[in-house]
Amino acid sequence: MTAHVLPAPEGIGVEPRGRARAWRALAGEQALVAGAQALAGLGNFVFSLVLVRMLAPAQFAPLAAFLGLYLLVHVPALSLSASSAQRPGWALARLPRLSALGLGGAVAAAVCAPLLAPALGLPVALVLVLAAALPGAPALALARGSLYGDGRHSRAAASLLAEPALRVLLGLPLALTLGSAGAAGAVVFAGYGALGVALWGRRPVAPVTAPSVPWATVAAFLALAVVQTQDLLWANATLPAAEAARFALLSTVGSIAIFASATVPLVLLPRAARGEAGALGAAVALTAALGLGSVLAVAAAPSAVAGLFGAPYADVAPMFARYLLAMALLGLARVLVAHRVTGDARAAMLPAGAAVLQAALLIAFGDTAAAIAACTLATCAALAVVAGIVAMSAPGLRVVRATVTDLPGAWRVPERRTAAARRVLRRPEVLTVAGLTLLALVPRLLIERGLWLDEAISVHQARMSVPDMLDALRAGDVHPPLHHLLLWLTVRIVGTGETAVRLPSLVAGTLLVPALYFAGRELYSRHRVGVLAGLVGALSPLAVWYSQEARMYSLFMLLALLAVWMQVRVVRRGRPVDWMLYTLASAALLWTQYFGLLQVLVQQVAFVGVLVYRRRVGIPVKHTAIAWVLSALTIALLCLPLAGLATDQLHAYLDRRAATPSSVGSSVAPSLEDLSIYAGIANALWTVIGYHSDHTMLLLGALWPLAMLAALFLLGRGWSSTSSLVAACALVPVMALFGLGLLKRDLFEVRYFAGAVPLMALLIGRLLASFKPRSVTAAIAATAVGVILVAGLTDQQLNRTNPRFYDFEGATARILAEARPGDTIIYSPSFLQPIAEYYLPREDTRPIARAGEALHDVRGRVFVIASFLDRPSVAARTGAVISEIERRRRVLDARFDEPQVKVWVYR
Amino acid sequence: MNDLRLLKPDWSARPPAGGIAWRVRLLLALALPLAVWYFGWLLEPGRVGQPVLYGLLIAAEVFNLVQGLGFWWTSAHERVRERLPLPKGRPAVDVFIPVYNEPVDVVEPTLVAATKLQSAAVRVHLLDDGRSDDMRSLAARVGAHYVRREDNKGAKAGNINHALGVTDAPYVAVFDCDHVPDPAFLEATLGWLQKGRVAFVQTPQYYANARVNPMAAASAAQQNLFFGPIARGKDGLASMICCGTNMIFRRDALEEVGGFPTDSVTEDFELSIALFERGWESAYLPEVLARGLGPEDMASYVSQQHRWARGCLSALPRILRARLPWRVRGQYLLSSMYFLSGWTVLIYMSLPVIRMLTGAQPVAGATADEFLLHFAPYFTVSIITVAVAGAGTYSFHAFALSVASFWIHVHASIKAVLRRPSRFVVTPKKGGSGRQPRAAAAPLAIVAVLLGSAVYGLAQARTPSTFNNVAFVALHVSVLLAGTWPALVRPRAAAVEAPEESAHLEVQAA
Repeated sequence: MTAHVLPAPEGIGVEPRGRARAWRALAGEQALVAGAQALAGLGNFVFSLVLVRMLAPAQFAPLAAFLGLYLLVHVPALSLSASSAQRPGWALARLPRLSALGLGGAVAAAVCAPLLAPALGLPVALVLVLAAALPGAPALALARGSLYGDGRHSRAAASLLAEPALRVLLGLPLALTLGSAGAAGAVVFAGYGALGVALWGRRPVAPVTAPSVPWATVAAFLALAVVQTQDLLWANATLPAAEAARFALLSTVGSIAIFASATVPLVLLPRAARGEAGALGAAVALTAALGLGSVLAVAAAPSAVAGLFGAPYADVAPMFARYLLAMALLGLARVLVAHRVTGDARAAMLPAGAAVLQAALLIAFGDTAAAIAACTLATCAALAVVAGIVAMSAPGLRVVRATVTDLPGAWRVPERRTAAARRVLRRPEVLTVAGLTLLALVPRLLIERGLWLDEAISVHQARMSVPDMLDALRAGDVHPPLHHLLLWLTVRIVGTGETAVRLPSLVAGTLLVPALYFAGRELYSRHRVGVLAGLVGALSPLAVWYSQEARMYSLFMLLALLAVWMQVRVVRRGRPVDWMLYTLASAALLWTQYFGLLQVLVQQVAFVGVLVYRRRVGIPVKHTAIAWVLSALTIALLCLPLAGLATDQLHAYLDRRAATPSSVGSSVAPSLEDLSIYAGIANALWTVIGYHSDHTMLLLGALWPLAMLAALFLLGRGWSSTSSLVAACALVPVMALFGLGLLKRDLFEVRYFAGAVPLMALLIGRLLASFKPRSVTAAIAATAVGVILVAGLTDQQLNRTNPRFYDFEGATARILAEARPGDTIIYSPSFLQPIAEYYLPREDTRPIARAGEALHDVRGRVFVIASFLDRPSVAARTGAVISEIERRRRVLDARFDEPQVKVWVYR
Repeated sequence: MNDLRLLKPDWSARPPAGGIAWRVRLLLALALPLAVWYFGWLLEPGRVGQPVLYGLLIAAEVFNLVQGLGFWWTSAHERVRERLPLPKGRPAVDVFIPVYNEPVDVVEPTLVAATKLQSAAVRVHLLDDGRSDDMRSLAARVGAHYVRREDNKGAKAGNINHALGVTDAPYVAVFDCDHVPDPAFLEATLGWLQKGRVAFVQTPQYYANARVNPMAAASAAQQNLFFGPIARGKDGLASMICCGTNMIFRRDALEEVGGFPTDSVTEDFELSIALFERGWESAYLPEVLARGLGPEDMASYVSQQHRWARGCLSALPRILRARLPWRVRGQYLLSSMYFLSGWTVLIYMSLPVIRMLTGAQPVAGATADEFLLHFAPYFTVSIITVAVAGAGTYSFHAFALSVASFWIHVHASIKAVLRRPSRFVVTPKKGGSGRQPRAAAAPLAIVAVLLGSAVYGLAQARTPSTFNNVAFVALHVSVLLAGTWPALVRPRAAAVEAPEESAHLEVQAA
């Protein structure tokens, strides 16, 4: 190994081609090592899989615990890998000493084996085998780490592959003959074999010339190792054997995600130590892909995966995706921490804090396998988010001290890094974004309502397989499938609880707020605009409402904002990445909500306007025009798969009797069937102040003269082209839908132009920022907007006379509290079936269409739960059933009303 | 310390690239059918609620429709003149700067700048009706001719006429004492006086202190609307008005009509009528060639507006009698009758009060839905037209100030009808240092009435109808308070230091 000091770089600029080449090299080396790691993981998985079939549960459980402890020994050793990857010199110099320490530890563990065995929940034999692994663990870690640090990725890959190969070759026969002890011995032997591959041909380095130990890196990775393994230890120590075994299996499957990305930070570290741009991006991308891939792979068929381990573990299947997600997030956090800790030792506190948090959660809540998995997921998610935020802060300029060989594809571009550092957030901005996001989270997490019909339908669809779900959308839905697919994945990771199914909307709705900040800041080149737009978005009643609804409208809002933001970027900068982001955002918008097409069309007209203007003033337009055409074609191509679905949905919709959406504040408009100006005003008000009772809407609608004041107030304020675009994207779809609503009433609904909400937040932020700071006008305007938003939000969330609030949860909870075996529940109208399925899964529920049959069969009491009674047909049908029940001499036992839901109880 | 009037102007009287005429015509094509739709609905027989209120509402709406149509008509005919080549030689020009007790530091830059006017043989005359020795010394110091008459008959008009009698240059330029002329003023304007029977060339009034004083800024925004699209439109219709300063005349035109009329407080307006009657023409050059000071407090603004309202309304009979081309007459009528708009504001503000106190309302047989369906598009297009025509210069504060001045129009029109004599009051050039609630007493009283009626209405009932009227009250109160705000707050010290990047027009005493 050669090492030489490179001169301090002087800001060498890099040609784009050179940059691409370097990126490919970075990605290539990551892929090589990660590929080997993945294969190694697969090999280890196959090894575990075979063993779980070969061994009885009572034998496999201790082996699984041994493997966990083995990991426990080697995972902290990963910290040594990390430190030696960062500074390879010190590893080889100290290898003999550390191995000697390990040997000492092995002897001590062997001597104490009888005492350790009960504490660890292992047989003594396995403790002895484990002790034998101790000397090799640090050595293997250091040896592999130095390979990463020296850029010897092929040798590292070979060492990785050697281990599972040896495990399988030796472990299976030994397991057959010696049981779990034999298998464990093979595991240890395989580790030494891998060490041999790693050290083959390497010369030691004199200790006196070796660099110092990067203790911060060691500490960070140790803490990460604790987070990775302490849940398994907790489960083994506190849960009953069967439950502990279930968690052990969960941990085994979950380790796929963390194992797959284990080498990524190690390959990253030497480059991060040199301050190389692009390395973090490649590492994060790969880790995210590996983690997500693991989650998707298992989520697609969890029962099949559980089936591999046998029937006793079948009920673990629903938890797989959740735990895999936790491990995937941990892997991501590990990369981010690794990058940061090379330049800032304080980053080691992040995983340490996470370990403490996890321990606290385990102590408080970890009494089942599912609970332990949830604690780990929460910890890993928090760590990933915080590490991400920290990673975004300006790291400051660092002097690049290189003591490494010239790695292929490396480039040092401190000048670009400076530019990059300028682009990333400064600490006050990090705090601003964090504060806004936290502010957004608070109202969004305070959910005061259960699922309503559309949400229950979404959950019902998400429970199906993907093909069945798409068929259901084709036959009975009117929306494109992106949100449905996200929900499908979500329920497989986190289940079908009320909060769980709302997670995609919650995430999209929360992300909307930092997106508003960044968009406002960039579009108007003013930090104040970003802050004010973010505040408006955080408190926007409609944005909060749909963040709490398991439907696509929150995602619609986010994508609408992103599409406009990226379009402005494209017009201003025209970089390929901007075009790509704009194209993806627009396509995703169309995959989320068909009415997003109205905004996309407005944006195409805007492009034409830009081209015409530029041509008129003599700016070359050829490249822009070509890029625009390509972008439009790409959007069309990406949406081509939707064409068939959309066509089928349209035919199905036209065949069905068009029903006015029951969520319209119907009594606000003079006539439910006609679209009126007041209905338009109501919808416009909803976008700003959210949903309220009909009486409130009537009163608020009467305040329309204030809109004249607002229009007058805009006189002379100046109107930029950016604001024109934002306003057009907000208002044109509304007007178009109003026009369409005159033809088909149910098309004019505020949800269908929900994309206008964040755009209006941008414009309001812009308006508020245009006032002189600390002026009276600014104070009055900001106070007025704040009061309106907070009052609107509070009333919307807490006022149970809100016509959008259907308390199916409350009504069904009361039914469940009173129902006894033999009772029958009739729901009206029949399309409440998803509600019944969700809230009354174990009860005898019948649709009103089968009420006659139900009344004939029922032995106990009859509950009639009805909603949408503002529809004459529903009211008539329900009344008829009630009359029939009373005709059969049943006595009304009780009757209760929840918002928009009525229940009758007959005995 | 640099005088703000020496800074480069930050407003241009020229339209944006491409002009606004075609945009206004486009909007007019939209606005006319919408106006027909609205008025067609409003004038249906079944709409009459309380007859008197209905009549007042119709009168106000029709008045504003006429003013709106006039604005569209004017803006759609804009003409943008450029400078013309100068006549051969250096023509003699008498420059008149009438003063009446203004501060010397206000007058001095104007006088100095006048002596530096280029492209002509300039003779500057300081016409001092204040008979001040300081002014005499100033004129001597600067090299201007000092003119003092024995009396103050005819105020400014008489002062100028006296000066006409003691001077003889073929061209006469007039600047108010606070309007500092650009050295190129004569070079830009003299060329047009050679064309046909152009009697005078008018250039815009620009308020340099709009940068630092909110009152001046709001007043300037109003001026910018007039000297922008309206003046260009009037010029396009060959009916530009003489505005009293920043203008240059042909002496023979002035002599033909006997000089400035001395029986009006808006002598310039009357002069224009007289000139047009004699077949003379006018020209408007949309180029800021002089920088002045706008009213810096409410009292100054009220004084100025009252004089203009009184003068223009008093000229109405004259306009109707004069032998003028129809478009000139129409333009002058529009300008005069603008000062009746205060009555429409009074009517609009009284309607919600009457509704809440008595239940009477002007319109019956209509739902709010129907009203909005017909009114909202008409209102929206009207607002857009003002915004487009004004190219963004007409601000909310200008509008609010105009609305809050309604009582001035009402008062002036009553005095005009009663033929009460009025006297010429010079608009103060420097603002007061304290609050001036008395100058805003009338609008504040209206605010109190509006708020009281709203409270009463809400106490009686909290129905949608009451809320609707309360919203109208809120609209009126907001506008009135915004318009009177400068009178209610203590003025902040003006930032007199000029920004470094500005081009300074160095004016030094000779």
